[in-house]
Amino acid sequence: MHVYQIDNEYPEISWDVLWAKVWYEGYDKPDYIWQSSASNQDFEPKLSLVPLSFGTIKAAVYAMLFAIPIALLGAIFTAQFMAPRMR
Amino acid sequence: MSASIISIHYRRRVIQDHLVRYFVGAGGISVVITITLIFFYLFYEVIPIFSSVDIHESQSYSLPGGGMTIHTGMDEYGQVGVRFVSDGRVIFFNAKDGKQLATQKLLLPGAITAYSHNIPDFVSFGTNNGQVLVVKYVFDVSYPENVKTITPRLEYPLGVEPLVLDESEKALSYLAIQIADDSAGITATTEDGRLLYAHYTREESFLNGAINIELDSLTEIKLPTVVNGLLLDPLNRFIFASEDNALLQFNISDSEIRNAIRYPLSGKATRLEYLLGDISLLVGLDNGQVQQWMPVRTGTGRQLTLIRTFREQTASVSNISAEHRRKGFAVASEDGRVTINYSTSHRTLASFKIADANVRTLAWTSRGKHLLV
Repeated sequence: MHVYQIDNEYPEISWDVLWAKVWYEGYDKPDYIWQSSASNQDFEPKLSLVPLSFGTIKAAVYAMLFAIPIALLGAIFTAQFMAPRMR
Repeated sequence: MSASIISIHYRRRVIQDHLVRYFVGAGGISVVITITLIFFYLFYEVIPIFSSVDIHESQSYSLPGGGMTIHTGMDEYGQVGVRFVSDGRVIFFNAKDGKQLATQKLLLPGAITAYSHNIPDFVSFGTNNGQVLVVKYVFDVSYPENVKTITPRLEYPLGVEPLVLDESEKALSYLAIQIADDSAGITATTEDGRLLYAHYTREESFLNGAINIELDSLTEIKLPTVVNGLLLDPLNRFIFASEDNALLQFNISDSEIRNAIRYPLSGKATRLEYLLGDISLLVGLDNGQVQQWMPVRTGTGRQLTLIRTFREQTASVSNISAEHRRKGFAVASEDGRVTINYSTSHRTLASFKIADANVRTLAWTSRGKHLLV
């Protein structure tokens, strides 16, 4: 009879878990899902970084949607229409 | 204004300029240092994720008590082990040195012909006259004089008296159970090729903890083939069985076993176990592969689907044991190789070989820090 000591803290991480579609229990197809915790003990952590990074890019794009016109118009105004003294 | 006042102003201005230059410079450099420190902190937090598994043998001793092992278990801290022997003995031993602590004999009405351990810390036994006894091993932790002391004991979640599952008293060959607070399901195959399913109502007296079990329904069908593994779904909707080259799914509805669906396998099944959560099935094959199957919703109800295959082992799979709190599992094969795998990330984390090749049992501690082989 042998007793083995195991130090195995993060078995759930792999390149595919972070960046590829994974078929999780209870789902009908592989998918990108972020759900890092739940209230039950037999939960399967879903750690896809794709929704997080896509969400970051999406938020940045929406912010730029407002920021780009304001910046461009502001630049045009300063360069062309602003009173010389003010400039 | 006199020249001296101007010169005082001027001098003050020069000092201020110097100080400001110094403070702004220091501020800028400390921002850079802080960001670098934050970077190092994040790096230090993230780096353990990529560290590999460390595994080493801490103890090794001869089998405490002798006899043929059916099942082993260990307490949360890896201090006390338990061994169920085929003659009905339960041996608790010190997991550090193998010294026997206590031995109990199960009160079984016949020889053990079937057993199941699909719930952590539960073992159920089927006898050669069609009866079933369910045992749970419990490790009580106490601190007399500030020393952690673990006292093992046995509980009988379905009563001390064995339940009569097969009224024709044939030997049971495979067994699976599911226990909820107020009910229990038991399924078993018999040596004469029948599949039995029984549903019980379970009542636990809140006064003295006495358990009252009543049979709700008992049903059986003739098995189409010889099975070599059996599992019961926690909601008692399906019975899964493995036969030589296929998985079988029986649906239970209105307390009847219905329509077996057959899923062909790429090899001969040698072992059938649940992963944590009792959703995914782990099927060990004679070519060393371990396949993960799970029920997936389709147009025609839930059907088993092959999700992923672990190919690290090359010899026939002799045992599979799931971790108690994570979706990991250990696999032993007939050439004495043990691998530690994780299902979701599809990783084989560690692999090692055991000298005395025949690995009969694998037992995790519930924290997943010790493995008893």
